[in-house]
Amino acid sequence: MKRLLTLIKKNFKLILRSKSSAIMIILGPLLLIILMGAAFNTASVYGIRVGVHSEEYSPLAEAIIYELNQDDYSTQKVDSEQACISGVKNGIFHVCAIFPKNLKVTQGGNIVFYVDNSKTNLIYLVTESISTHIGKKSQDLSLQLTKGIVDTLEYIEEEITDKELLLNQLKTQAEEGEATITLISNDLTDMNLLHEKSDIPLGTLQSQLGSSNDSSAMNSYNAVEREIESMLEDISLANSKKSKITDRLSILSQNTETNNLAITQMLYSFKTIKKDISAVKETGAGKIVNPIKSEIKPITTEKTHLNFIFPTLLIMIMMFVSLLLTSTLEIREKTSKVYFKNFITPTSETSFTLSNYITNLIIISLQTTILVGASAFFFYKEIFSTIHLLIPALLLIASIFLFMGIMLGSIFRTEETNTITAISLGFIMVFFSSAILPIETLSPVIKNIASFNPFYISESLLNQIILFQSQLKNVSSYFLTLSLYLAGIIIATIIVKKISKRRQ
Amino acid sequence: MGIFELKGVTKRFKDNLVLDNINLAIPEGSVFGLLGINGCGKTTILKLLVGFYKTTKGEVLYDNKKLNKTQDKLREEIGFTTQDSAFYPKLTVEENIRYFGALYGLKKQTIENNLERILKLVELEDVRSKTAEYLSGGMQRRLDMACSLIHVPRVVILDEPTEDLDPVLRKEILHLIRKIKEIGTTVIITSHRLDDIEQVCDRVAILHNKKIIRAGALNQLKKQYSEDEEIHIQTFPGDYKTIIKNIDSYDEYYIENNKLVIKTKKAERVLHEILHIIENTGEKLLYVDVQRPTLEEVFQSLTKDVNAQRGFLRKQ
Repeated sequence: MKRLLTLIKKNFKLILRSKSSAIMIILGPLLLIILMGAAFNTASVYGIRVGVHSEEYSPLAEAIIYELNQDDYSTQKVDSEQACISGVKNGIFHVCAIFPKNLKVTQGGNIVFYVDNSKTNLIYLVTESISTHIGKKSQDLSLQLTKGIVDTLEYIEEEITDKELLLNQLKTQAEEGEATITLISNDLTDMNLLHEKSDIPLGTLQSQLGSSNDSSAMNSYNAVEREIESMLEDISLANSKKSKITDRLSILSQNTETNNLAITQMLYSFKTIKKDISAVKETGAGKIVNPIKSEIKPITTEKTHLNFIFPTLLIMIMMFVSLLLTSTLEIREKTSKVYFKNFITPTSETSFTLSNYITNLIIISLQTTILVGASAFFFYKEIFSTIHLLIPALLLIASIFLFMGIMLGSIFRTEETNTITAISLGFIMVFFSSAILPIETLSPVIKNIASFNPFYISESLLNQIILFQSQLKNVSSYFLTLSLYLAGIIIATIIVKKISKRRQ
Repeated sequence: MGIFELKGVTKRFKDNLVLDNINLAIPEGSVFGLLGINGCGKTTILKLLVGFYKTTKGEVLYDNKKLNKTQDKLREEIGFTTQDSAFYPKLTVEENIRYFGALYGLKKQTIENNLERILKLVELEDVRSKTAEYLSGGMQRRLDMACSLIHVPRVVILDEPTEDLDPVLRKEILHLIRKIKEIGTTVIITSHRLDDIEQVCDRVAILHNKKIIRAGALNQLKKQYSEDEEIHIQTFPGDYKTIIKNIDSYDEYYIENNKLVIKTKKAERVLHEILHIIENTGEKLLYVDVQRPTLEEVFQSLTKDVNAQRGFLRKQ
């Protein structure tokens, strides 16, 4: 134990007396968190250059361009589509937007975006942001159009309600008219105008007058007879006209009935239209345009990029510092002039390895405390509520990477090879995690392998603890996996050390 | 029987044979010198002695026991000073010595007591608080030795202790070795500087062509090779070819620093001849001396290829 303490003390003296090392170890992480904080403490994308081109810029296209300019996008009109696309290729623009000629709402049209897919993360952010802007403009236009339709419908409903009364009055009047026609028709039918001269007993009168030979009487009779004949002719004419009137009344009655039926149908149609209009439950234009609104709500309360990347950032710093520092110290000790002198002392090699581990663990702990402390002070107040899980998690993660570093330092014989390998290993672990692209974007086989990546597991564990404030039961599987990793790496380190010793 | 014994030790690094069937005993209490040209395997032998390297063949004994059985004891009883300054430059003199004291498992009080004695022994008392990197070359070498002596070892191994030092510093180190010897510690030194070995060692072994070609007490070796004497002569204008052509009884000659050096078993007769020739040829005698062989000459005569490198010419 005394020897171990002596070794740790010696390690710290050597580090602290090398001014550059001391500054980098203590101020490095602080500087890093300040820089990262300044760079990523935002949720927006700034300074995006958008190249735009259209054969003819319509007011709608100009409005969309104006909308983009309003939100920190810098748009620039380009003479041709090819020049616009070349601009993206050459890095002049982040996005190229091609508007169709004379873009109008009535005609519709596609706005085509050209993006540089090699800038994956940026493209996700930019296309999402631009789509949101275009979508907003499109939604505004749809809203205006829909509002016009809805207003018209409301006017129609009012008009129908208004005119329905008139139609009902017409219908009543028509029905009454039809009844009157029927009555007239019946009266006319009842009217008997079929009279014959023979129905008048003029013969008897004539015989009586003839027998009297009263000429004046006969003359009067003849005048009456003529008058009767004239009247019979008039009655016959009236009868003929009655028939015609009856026929016309019949036609009128039919027409009135037809009209009545039409009015009934119209009333039914009006009723159906009113019913249909009433059946339209939603008359708000906004809701018609966007009946289903999607809103993405974060499951954490954090708002900036730094909040989300903080766990990954923490692991990345821990991993690279652990791998590089431990392996470098291991190699330096191994290749130093003092190594042989240390070797021939009765102090075991395990003590040297442990001293390397503890020294670097203290350094990592110091750096992590600075990082976590700074984050707690500036943006993660609630980090202290999970400190009981965070401390063992960080210790476990640091130990894994520290022993990895010791293993690398034991394998390699030169600092250069070791540094290259440590950096490569670190980057492999970063690439096959969700730090750059989600692990789900990898091919299934690689994804399955990458899910065993200690960096990925550590990142997931810290996300659970820091971002979601998960309880132990929710993260116990991560702890178990990482503990197994640590045990495996310690065993591997022992084996590697034995092999490298045998090589001497 | 010695404190260390190598029995039939062979060491290979892959296909490279470095030591071939080495048999050697190092007696306790002696100052043992291991001689050999650079790269001949001296350091390899030392590293085999302390168990840093494993033998390819043969065995190393410490205190008459196989090394693997006495490794822990050995590590407690041995001090090792390498060719390079093996200490931490960023630590002070005291911190370095205390550090090694702790690694040797000494108690704090023992470390403090030994520290004072060792600092006095190596004459670094005045710079005890100075950072090691700012010490002079000689001081650094002494600090290295002090770190190896803090636990008062039974054996101290000094690998090329005077390498790369100027004459003054070399003298300091040799003086220190004598002082270490006085405290009863067995000292094992490697060097290719034969004059240094000659000054401090009582026993030597010569390593050449992967083998120990001679080993024994220094005086015995010198006596064994004392038949030859050297005549060092300087004349003006220096027609050494005429001189050599006219003398018979010499074994070898070479010219060094404008001086003619002649090795011969009959120094008196040859010198007489030379003086006669000089008189006849009109050369002016500037310098003449007759020397007995040094360890260097012993070494040279044993390692013929080295002689050739140095420009020795054999009698035709």
